[in-house]
Amino acid sequence: MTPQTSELLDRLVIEATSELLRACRVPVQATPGLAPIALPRNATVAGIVGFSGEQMRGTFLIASSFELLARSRPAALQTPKRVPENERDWVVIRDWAAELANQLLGRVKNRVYAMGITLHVSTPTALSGEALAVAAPSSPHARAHSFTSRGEEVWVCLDATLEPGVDLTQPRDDGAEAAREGDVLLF
Amino acid sequence: MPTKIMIVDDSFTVRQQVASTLAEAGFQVVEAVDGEDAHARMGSEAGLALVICDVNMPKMNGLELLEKVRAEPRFATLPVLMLTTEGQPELIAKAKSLGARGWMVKPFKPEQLVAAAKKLTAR
Repeated sequence: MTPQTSELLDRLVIEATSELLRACRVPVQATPGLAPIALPRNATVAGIVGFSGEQMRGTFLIASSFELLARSRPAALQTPKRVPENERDWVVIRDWAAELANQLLGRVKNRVYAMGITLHVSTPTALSGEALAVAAPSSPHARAHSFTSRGEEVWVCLDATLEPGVDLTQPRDDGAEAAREGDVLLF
Repeated sequence: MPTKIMIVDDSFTVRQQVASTLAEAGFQVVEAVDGEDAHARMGSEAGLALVICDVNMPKMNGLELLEKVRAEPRFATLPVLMLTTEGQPELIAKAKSLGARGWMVKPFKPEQLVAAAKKLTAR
Protein backbone atom coordinates (compact mmCIF):
# COMPACT_ATOMS: atom_id res chain seq x y z
CA MET A 1 0.00 0.00 0.00
CA THR A 2 1.41 3.37 -0.93
CA PRO A 3 1.83 6.05 1.74
CA GLN A 4 -0.77 8.16 -0.11
CA THR A 5 -3.32 5.35 0.04
CA SER A 6 -2.61 4.74 3.73
CA GLU A 7 -3.04 8.43 4.48
CA LEU A 8 -6.27 8.56 2.52
CA LEU A 9 -7.70 5.58 4.40
CA ASP A 10 -6.58 7.15 7.69
CA ARG A 11 -8.42 10.33 6.78
CA LEU A 12 -11.58 8.44 5.78
CA VAL A 13 -11.60 6.50 9.05
CA ILE A 14 -11.02 9.62 11.15
CA GLU A 15 -13.75 11.53 9.31
CA ALA A 16 -16.20 8.63 9.49
CA THR A 17 -15.66 8.14 13.21
CA SER A 18 -15.86 11.84 14.04
CA GLU A 19 -18.98 12.39 11.90
CA LEU A 20 -20.87 9.35 13.11
CA LEU A 21 -20.17 9.90 16.80
CA ARG A 22 -21.09 13.58 16.42
CA ALA A 23 -24.38 12.45 14.86
CA CYS A 24 -24.77 10.22 17.92
CA ARG A 25 -24.41 13.28 20.21
CA VAL A 26 -20.90 12.26 21.31
CA PRO A 27 -18.44 14.76 19.81
CA VAL A 28 -14.93 13.35 19.82
CA GLN A 29 -11.49 14.79 19.26
CA ALA A 30 -9.03 12.78 17.19
CA THR A 31 -5.62 12.26 18.78
CA PRO A 32 -3.01 13.29 16.19
CA GLY A 33 -1.02 10.50 14.53
CA LEU A 34 -1.52 6.77 14.61
CA ALA A 35 -2.53 5.05 17.84
CA PRO A 36 -0.78 1.92 19.12
CA ILE A 37 -2.31 -1.41 18.07
CA ALA A 38 -3.54 -1.99 21.59
CA LEU A 39 -6.98 -1.40 23.02
CA PRO A 40 -7.20 1.38 25.61
CA ARG A 41 -7.66 0.43 29.26
CA ASN A 42 -11.22 1.73 29.35
CA ALA A 43 -12.34 -0.43 26.40
CA THR A 44 -14.76 -3.03 27.67
CA VAL A 45 -16.85 -3.41 24.50
CA ALA A 46 -15.72 -3.86 20.89
CA GLY A 47 -17.68 -4.03 17.64
CA ILE A 48 -16.09 -5.83 14.71
CA VAL A 49 -17.02 -6.19 11.06
CA GLY A 50 -15.20 -7.82 8.17
CA PHE A 51 -15.16 -6.84 4.52
CA SER A 52 -14.01 -8.30 1.25
CA GLY A 53 -13.73 -7.33 -2.38
CA GLU A 54 -11.62 -7.96 -5.44
CA GLN A 55 -9.23 -5.14 -4.56
CA MET A 56 -9.44 -4.78 -0.80
CA ARG A 57 -10.29 -6.93 2.22
CA GLY A 58 -9.90 -6.85 5.97
CA THR A 59 -11.59 -6.00 9.25
CA PHE A 60 -12.75 -2.91 11.07
CA LEU A 61 -12.95 -2.62 14.84
CA ILE A 62 -14.25 0.01 17.25
CA ALA A 63 -13.75 -0.25 21.00
CA SER A 64 -14.65 1.95 23.93
CA SER A 65 -16.18 1.94 27.37
CA PHE A 66 -19.67 0.72 28.22
CA GLU A 67 -20.55 4.23 29.37
CA LEU A 68 -19.47 6.05 26.20
CA LEU A 69 -21.20 3.54 23.96
CA ALA A 70 -24.36 3.82 26.07
CA ARG A 71 -24.29 7.61 25.65
CA SER A 72 -23.99 7.25 21.88
CA ARG A 73 -27.11 5.10 21.48
CA PRO A 74 -30.01 6.72 19.60
CA ALA A 75 -31.64 9.58 21.49
CA ALA A 76 -35.00 7.80 21.54
CA LEU A 77 -33.39 4.90 23.43
CA GLN A 78 -31.64 6.84 26.19
CA THR A 79 -34.23 5.78 28.76
CA PRO A 80 -34.03 3.56 30.66
CA LYS A 81 -30.39 4.40 31.38
CA ARG A 82 -28.14 1.43 30.65
CA VAL A 83 -25.75 0.53 33.47
CA PRO A 84 -22.84 -1.96 33.59
CA GLU A 85 -24.23 -3.54 36.77
CA ASN A 86 -27.12 -4.94 34.75
CA GLU A 87 -26.11 -8.01 32.75
CA ARG A 88 -28.96 -7.50 30.27
CA ASP A 89 -27.64 -4.03 29.48
CA TRP A 90 -24.33 -5.52 28.28
CA VAL A 91 -26.32 -7.38 25.62
CA VAL A 92 -27.86 -4.08 24.53
CA ILE A 93 -24.51 -2.26 24.40
CA ARG A 94 -22.80 -5.10 22.51
CA ASP A 95 -25.58 -4.96 19.93
CA TRP A 96 -25.03 -1.21 19.56
CA ALA A 97 -21.24 -1.65 19.27
CA ALA A 98 -21.77 -4.10 16.42
CA GLU A 99 -24.14 -1.67 14.68
CA LEU A 100 -21.70 1.22 15.18
CA ALA A 101 -18.93 -0.85 13.56
CA ASN A 102 -21.33 -1.59 10.71
CA GLN A 103 -22.29 2.07 10.24
CA LEU A 104 -18.67 3.26 10.47
CA LEU A 105 -17.45 0.79 7.90
CA GLY A 106 -20.49 1.68 5.80
CA ARG A 107 -19.28 5.27 5.62
CA VAL A 108 -15.78 4.20 4.62
CA LYS A 109 -17.17 1.75 2.10
CA ASN A 110 -19.40 4.36 0.49
CA ARG A 111 -16.42 6.76 0.18
CA VAL A 112 -14.01 4.26 -1.38
CA TYR A 113 -16.71 3.34 -3.90
CA ALA A 114 -16.00 6.68 -5.60
CA MET A 115 -12.41 5.47 -5.99
CA GLY A 116 -13.42 2.30 -7.77
CA ILE A 117 -13.46 -0.04 -4.77
CA THR A 118 -16.54 -2.19 -4.16
CA LEU A 119 -16.67 -3.86 -0.76
CA HIS A 120 -18.94 -6.57 0.59
CA VAL A 121 -19.52 -6.40 4.31
CA SER A 122 -19.98 -9.29 6.72
CA THR A 123 -22.53 -9.42 9.52
CA PRO A 124 -21.02 -7.42 12.39
CA THR A 125 -20.37 -8.88 15.81
CA ALA A 126 -19.27 -7.61 19.20
CA LEU A 127 -17.57 -8.75 22.35
CA SER A 128 -17.13 -7.40 25.84
CA GLY A 129 -14.97 -8.03 28.86
CA GLU A 130 -12.10 -6.78 30.97
CA ALA A 131 -8.58 -6.40 29.57
CA LEU A 132 -9.60 -6.86 25.93
CA ALA A 133 -6.51 -7.24 23.77
CA VAL A 134 -5.65 -7.52 20.10
CA ALA A 135 -3.99 -10.75 19.01
CA ALA A 136 -0.22 -10.47 18.67
CA PRO A 137 1.64 -10.15 16.45
CA SER A 138 -0.79 -7.70 14.91
CA SER A 139 -1.34 -7.46 11.19
CA PRO A 140 1.27 -5.35 9.40
CA HIS A 141 -1.60 -3.56 7.66
CA ALA A 142 -3.49 -2.54 10.80
CA ARG A 143 -3.73 1.20 11.43
CA ALA A 144 -5.40 2.48 14.57
CA HIS A 145 -6.73 5.86 15.63
CA SER A 146 -7.68 7.17 19.01
CA PHE A 147 -10.34 9.73 19.91
CA THR A 148 -11.33 11.28 23.19
CA SER A 149 -14.67 12.49 24.53
CA ARG A 150 -15.04 13.83 28.08
CA GLY A 151 -11.78 12.12 29.02
CA GLU A 152 -12.89 8.75 27.66
CA GLU A 153 -11.20 7.05 24.73
CA VAL A 154 -12.62 5.57 21.55
CA TRP A 155 -10.25 3.35 19.59
CA VAL A 156 -10.78 2.29 15.99
CA CYS A 157 -8.63 0.07 13.83
CA LEU A 158 -8.80 -0.60 10.10
CA ASP A 159 -6.85 -3.66 9.00
CA ALA A 160 -7.01 -3.48 5.21
CA THR A 161 -5.07 -5.44 2.63
CA LEU A 162 -5.06 -4.04 -0.90
CA GLU A 163 -4.18 -5.93 -4.03
CA PRO A 164 -0.91 -4.76 -5.60
CA GLY A 165 -1.36 -1.76 -7.86
CA VAL A 166 -4.67 -0.62 -6.40
CA ASP A 167 -4.69 3.17 -6.23
CA LEU A 168 -7.27 4.87 -4.04
CA THR A 169 -6.19 8.36 -4.99
CA GLN A 170 -7.91 8.24 -8.40
CA PRO A 171 -11.69 8.55 -8.95
CA ARG A 172 -13.53 5.78 -10.76
CA ASP A 173 -13.72 6.06 -14.53
CA ASP A 174 -17.51 6.50 -14.64
CA GLY A 175 -17.50 9.12 -11.87
CA ALA A 176 -20.24 7.26 -9.99
CA GLU A 177 -20.68 7.85 -6.28
CA ALA A 178 -22.48 5.90 -3.59
CA ALA A 179 -25.49 7.29 -1.76
CA ARG A 180 -24.59 9.07 1.47
CA GLU A 181 -25.74 8.59 5.03
CA GLY A 182 -29.21 10.04 5.54
CA ASP A 183 -30.05 9.94 1.82
CA VAL A 184 -33.64 8.94 1.10
CA LEU A 185 -34.58 7.68 -2.36
CA LEU A 186 -38.19 6.85 -3.07
CA PHE A 187 -39.03 5.04 -6.30
CA MET B 1 -56.89 1.00 13.40
CA PRO B 2 -53.22 2.08 13.17
CA THR B 3 -51.25 1.30 10.03
CA LYS B 4 -49.05 -1.75 10.55
CA ILE B 5 -45.36 -1.71 9.58
CA MET B 6 -42.79 -4.49 9.88
CA ILE B 7 -39.16 -3.62 10.66
CA VAL B 8 -36.63 -6.29 9.66
CA ASP B 9 -33.11 -5.84 11.05
CA ASP B 10 -30.67 -8.10 12.88
CA SER B 11 -29.75 -5.23 15.20
CA PHE B 12 -31.94 -5.00 18.29
CA THR B 13 -30.96 -1.33 18.61
CA VAL B 14 -32.08 -0.44 15.08
CA ARG B 15 -35.35 -2.34 15.49
CA GLN B 16 -36.03 -0.51 18.75
CA GLN B 17 -35.11 2.86 17.25
CA VAL B 18 -37.35 2.37 14.22
CA ALA B 19 -40.19 0.95 16.32
CA SER B 20 -40.01 3.81 18.79
CA THR B 21 -39.94 6.44 16.02
CA LEU B 22 -42.86 4.94 14.13
CA ALA B 23 -44.94 4.19 17.23
CA GLU B 24 -44.61 7.82 18.27
CA ALA B 25 -45.97 8.78 14.83
CA GLY B 26 -49.00 6.55 15.37
CA PHE B 27 -47.97 3.42 13.48
CA GLN B 28 -48.23 -0.12 14.81
CA VAL B 29 -44.87 -1.88 14.48
CA VAL B 30 -43.97 -5.56 14.37
CA GLU B 31 -40.38 -6.78 14.35
CA ALA B 32 -38.40 -9.51 12.61
CA VAL B 33 -34.73 -10.32 13.19
CA ASP B 34 -33.75 -11.34 9.63
CA GLY B 35 -35.23 -12.10 6.23
CA GLU B 36 -36.17 -15.64 7.14
CA ASP B 37 -37.96 -14.54 10.30
CA ALA B 38 -39.74 -11.77 8.38
CA HIS B 39 -40.93 -14.13 5.68
CA ALA B 40 -42.24 -16.59 8.26
CA ARG B 41 -44.12 -13.83 10.11
CA MET B 42 -45.54 -12.04 7.10
CA GLY B 43 -48.10 -14.71 6.44
CA SER B 44 -49.66 -14.27 9.86
CA GLU B 45 -49.46 -10.47 10.07
CA ALA B 46 -52.77 -9.36 8.58
CA GLY B 47 -52.96 -5.82 7.26
CA LEU B 48 -49.27 -5.22 6.83
CA ALA B 49 -48.90 -1.88 4.99
CA LEU B 50 -45.12 -1.53 4.73
CA VAL B 51 -41.92 -3.51 5.32
CA ILE B 52 -38.78 -1.62 6.31
CA CYS B 53 -35.84 -3.92 5.72
CA ASP B 54 -32.06 -3.98 6.26
CA VAL B 55 -29.89 -5.44 3.48
CA ASN B 56 -27.03 -7.27 5.21
CA MET B 57 -28.53 -9.82 7.57
CA PRO B 58 -27.79 -13.44 8.48
CA LYS B 59 -29.87 -16.37 7.15
CA MET B 60 -31.71 -14.37 4.48
CA ASN B 61 -30.62 -10.89 3.46
CA GLY B 62 -32.92 -8.03 2.54
CA LEU B 63 -32.65 -8.41 -1.22
CA GLU B 64 -33.36 -12.14 -0.99
CA LEU B 65 -36.42 -11.36 1.12
CA LEU B 66 -37.56 -8.78 -1.39
CA GLU B 67 -37.23 -11.26 -4.24
CA LYS B 68 -39.12 -13.92 -2.30
CA VAL B 69 -41.89 -11.53 -1.31
CA ARG B 70 -42.39 -10.25 -4.84
CA ALA B 71 -42.73 -13.81 -6.12
CA GLU B 72 -45.84 -14.28 -3.99
CA PRO B 73 -49.01 -12.73 -5.46
CA ARG B 74 -50.42 -11.84 -2.01
CA PHE B 75 -47.41 -9.58 -1.36
CA ALA B 76 -46.92 -8.37 -4.92
CA THR B 77 -47.85 -4.78 -4.10
CA LEU B 78 -46.67 -4.60 -0.49
CA PRO B 79 -44.29 -1.61 -0.29
CA VAL B 80 -40.76 -2.42 0.87
CA LEU B 81 -38.33 0.30 2.00
CA MET B 82 -34.67 -0.71 2.34
CA LEU B 83 -32.88 0.81 5.38
CA THR B 84 -29.17 0.05 5.26
CA THR B 85 -25.60 1.34 5.47
CA GLU B 86 -25.16 0.33 1.81
CA GLY B 87 -25.04 3.11 -0.76
CA GLN B 88 -23.68 1.41 -3.88
CA PRO B 89 -25.71 2.38 -6.97
CA GLU B 90 -25.67 -1.24 -8.22
CA LEU B 91 -27.39 -2.47 -5.06
CA ILE B 92 -29.92 0.36 -5.17
CA ALA B 93 -30.66 -0.44 -8.81
CA LYS B 94 -31.05 -4.12 -7.97
CA ALA B 95 -33.48 -3.35 -5.15
CA LYS B 96 -35.47 -1.11 -7.45
CA SER B 97 -35.60 -3.77 -10.14
CA LEU B 98 -36.80 -6.29 -7.54
CA GLY B 99 -39.64 -3.98 -6.61
CA ALA B 100 -38.41 -1.97 -3.62
CA ARG B 101 -40.19 1.37 -3.23
CA GLY B 102 -37.37 3.18 -1.49
CA TRP B 103 -33.83 3.18 -0.10
CA MET B 104 -32.57 4.98 3.02
CA VAL B 105 -28.95 5.06 4.11
CA LYS B 106 -28.34 4.67 7.86
CA PRO B 107 -28.21 6.47 10.17
CA PHE B 108 -31.65 7.90 9.50
CA LYS B 109 -33.31 11.04 10.78
CA PRO B 110 -36.57 10.15 12.58
CA GLU B 111 -38.58 12.76 10.68
CA GLN B 112 -37.33 11.40 7.35
CA LEU B 113 -38.32 7.87 8.28
CA VAL B 114 -41.79 8.98 9.35
CA ALA B 115 -42.24 11.04 6.16
CA ALA B 116 -41.20 8.08 4.00
CA ALA B 117 -43.47 5.71 5.94
CA LYS B 118 -46.43 8.05 5.53
CA LYS B 119 -45.80 8.47 1.83
CA LEU B 120 -45.39 4.75 1.15
CA THR B 121 -48.40 3.68 3.18
CA ALA B 122 -50.62 6.34 1.62
CA ARG B 123 -50.27 4.91 -1.89
